[in-house]
Amino acid sequence: MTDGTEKSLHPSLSWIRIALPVAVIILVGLHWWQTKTLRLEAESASAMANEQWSNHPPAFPLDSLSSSVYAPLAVSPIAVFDTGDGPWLGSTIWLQLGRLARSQDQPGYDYFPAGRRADLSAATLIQLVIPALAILIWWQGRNAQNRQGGSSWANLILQLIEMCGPAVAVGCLLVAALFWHDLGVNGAVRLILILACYLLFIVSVGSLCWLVARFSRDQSISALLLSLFWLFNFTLARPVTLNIAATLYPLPTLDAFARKIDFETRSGYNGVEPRRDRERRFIAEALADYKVKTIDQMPVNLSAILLQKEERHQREVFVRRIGELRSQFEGQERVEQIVSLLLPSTAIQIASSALAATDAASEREQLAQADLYWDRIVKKVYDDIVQSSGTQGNKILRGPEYWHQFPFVNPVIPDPTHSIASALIPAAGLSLWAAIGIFFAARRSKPFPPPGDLA
Amino acid sequence: MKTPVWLSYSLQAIWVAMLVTLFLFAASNTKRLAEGEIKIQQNGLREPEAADPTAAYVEILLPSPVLPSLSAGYMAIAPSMHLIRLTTARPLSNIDPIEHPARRRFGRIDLSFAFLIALPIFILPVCFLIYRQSLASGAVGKLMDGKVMVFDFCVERILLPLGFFMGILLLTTLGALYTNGLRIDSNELLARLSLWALIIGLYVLAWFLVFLWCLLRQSNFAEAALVYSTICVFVLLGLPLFLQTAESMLAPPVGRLSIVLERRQLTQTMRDIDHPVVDSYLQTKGAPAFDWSRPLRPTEASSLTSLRVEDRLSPKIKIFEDSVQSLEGIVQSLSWISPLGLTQTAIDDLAGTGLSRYSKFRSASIAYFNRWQAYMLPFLAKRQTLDFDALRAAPKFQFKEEEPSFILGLAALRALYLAVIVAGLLALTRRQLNRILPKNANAAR
Repeated sequence: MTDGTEKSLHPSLSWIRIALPVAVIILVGLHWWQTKTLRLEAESASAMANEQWSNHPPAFPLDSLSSSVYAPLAVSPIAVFDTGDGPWLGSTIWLQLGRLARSQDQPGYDYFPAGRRADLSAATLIQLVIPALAILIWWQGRNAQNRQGGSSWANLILQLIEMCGPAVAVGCLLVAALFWHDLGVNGAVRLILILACYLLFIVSVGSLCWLVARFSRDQSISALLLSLFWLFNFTLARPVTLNIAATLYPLPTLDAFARKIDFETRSGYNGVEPRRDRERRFIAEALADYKVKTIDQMPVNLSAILLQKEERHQREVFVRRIGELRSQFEGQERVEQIVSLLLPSTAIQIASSALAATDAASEREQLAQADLYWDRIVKKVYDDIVQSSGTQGNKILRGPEYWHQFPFVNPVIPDPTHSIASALIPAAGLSLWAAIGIFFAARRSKPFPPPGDLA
Repeated sequence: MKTPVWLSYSLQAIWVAMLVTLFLFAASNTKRLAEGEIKIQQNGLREPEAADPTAAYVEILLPSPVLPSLSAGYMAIAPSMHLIRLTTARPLSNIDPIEHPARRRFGRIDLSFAFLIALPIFILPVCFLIYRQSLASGAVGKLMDGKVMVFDFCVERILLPLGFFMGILLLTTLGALYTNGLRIDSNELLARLSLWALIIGLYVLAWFLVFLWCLLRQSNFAEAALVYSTICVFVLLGLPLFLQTAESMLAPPVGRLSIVLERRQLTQTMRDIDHPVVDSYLQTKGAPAFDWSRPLRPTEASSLTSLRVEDRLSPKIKIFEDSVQSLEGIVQSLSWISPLGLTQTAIDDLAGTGLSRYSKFRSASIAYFNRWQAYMLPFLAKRQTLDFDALRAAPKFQFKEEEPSFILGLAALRALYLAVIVAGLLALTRRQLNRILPKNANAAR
């Protein structure tokens, strides 16, 4: 597939070889500072929250549960390379009896409207530079073609790898060096997958440029198509896909969401079971559970049972609504992933941030971990309250000893398999473009067609 | 290769249809956001209702933007409703819509997005079609031979097709704005709209000139397209992204996590009510001593604890608020470096959805909270309920909008900035034109 006649990039542009890795190092350094700040804060907050958790004052368990508990999210070390949807968005999990958090007290960085826009990370720079260099190399190949007989697919890809590969490798190695102790197998696998994705991106971008040159006989049209395609990819693709996804999978307003939960908590699903009816059902269920005929015969306190069952009811309402919300988020992400089959820049953005664990799905997964943990605790506490009530019950549990049985929640970055689920379709899109390039390159027997410059 | 005329016109029609669709989608998106804002306005509780001073609260709202259909700006990104209660030290509530963080980060498609980001890209094929038609009709050859005057060529071959293209966009925009409920009913509104049109016009003209300069400099459409694309990527993406990074570095956001955790800890440690401490606290706030004659109700005890906790936390909260203001100030200042940032800021400010208006509302709400606290504390101390008169006399929030003359003046200054860029580009284009045109064509000019 190689002609063996081509020269590498024009000498006047060889500075890019040095400049790109240097820029990557600078950007990783800048974001290392950011990530370090976040991690230090998360660590100290975690220690403080842990201490508060294990030193509960001697209070009734429900009193402790009803005041909120905070747990910082784990910050991915690879955020220094690809900030994804963060890092200055929400950074904390809120746990409060499974009810909707009072939004005015939610901590996090999302309070900075001015700080919410996307910034320049090493990954973004590489995502921008690779297509730009591909076009540049293609263009030089076109010019050289007049003199030497043209460029080839393999040569274009090799030149791209030679130019951009070191920058990607330097970025990943720097992450590994800076967070050697925190990275672990999880991080190492992620970094390897990120490298693989960028390699795919390089091949697909090179293939696209090569294909346009292969099938277009007009230099102006080739340049126009490539320019438009990449401009669209860089600037419009992500907002357009995100906005279309948001239109296809609309989300409720916070106010409407809270109102719906409030309504169903009070009146049951679709408003068919008000509190009084619900209590009657709870009593009937309790009598059946304990196999007795009257409330007096029950070995435990009825009010404790009602409390327990009401909590489960509220929990069900919350979980159902949150589940709907999650489905909408996942639907939006699915739309983006499918569209990314055609848009390499969107594909690499999604795949890179998913593998760096800085996308919204990774954050949601951490929230799900904490939610599961919280659900178990709340269930256990209410079960204990029921068991310790009534004439045959044990003494009501109180104080730190009680809480020591529950180790504090420690959210962790989800394992790479979770991220692969998000990155699979985008990576498939990149592979598709790469495969098309390889297919046509393998069939190619003649060099570039002659340019048809009209100017 | 000569493009058939029917194909050329079909491509133009498809291209214009795509752009019109994008503009309509953008306008409908902006309208949806504006409707959300109106809903917030309708549902806000502007007057306190509860008689208990520990439970009374009020929601203060930022009035709807003047021209929300022009740009979404910080609408639904910065809070436009704050909850004011006696016991919350930070009277700011976050009414973020439930939204995918990526959308917030990578942008909403609104009219300003369509004009500022999409249009410079859509210009490229339009220029290509004009270029092709000029070549095919032999007009370029005649120009180079000096048979056609430059002025005639520009009017006939460039301005007419461009005018047709821009006219369709103008009509689409006007139609969308009218459908979204825009009516010019004051001179101020007219002035804002005129400045908006001027700024958008200068911005779009600048991009056309950039392309023309590229074309004249390279003397080859393909190279011109590549250079133009590079400039586009730098101006529309590279520079704004870099500035965002720089802003975060210059004014690193301070986390609220430690404040929240400390609040929880202090609430537990300061739960016991110490009479002299409470009285001393109330005295420092200018309120009378607490009436200890009756046993404390749980809500009163909780309020007193909360007030003292917030008092203790106030230095940290101030640091947090200062960091917010500092970042916002830097964002405003650095916007002058980026033409896109500057134009976006100008349009947002004219639409009433700019960051400065939200920052002002934030400061006003903090000031209002202090007034609210000063009014409510004596009732809490004397353990009085709020009767009808007391509720009616409670301080009312009045947001003093930014001076229209200041907004218009600033917009004019930004328009001047863009005009300087346009003038520079015109000079560069003229220089290139002089370079490539033969002497006789120059004479004809």
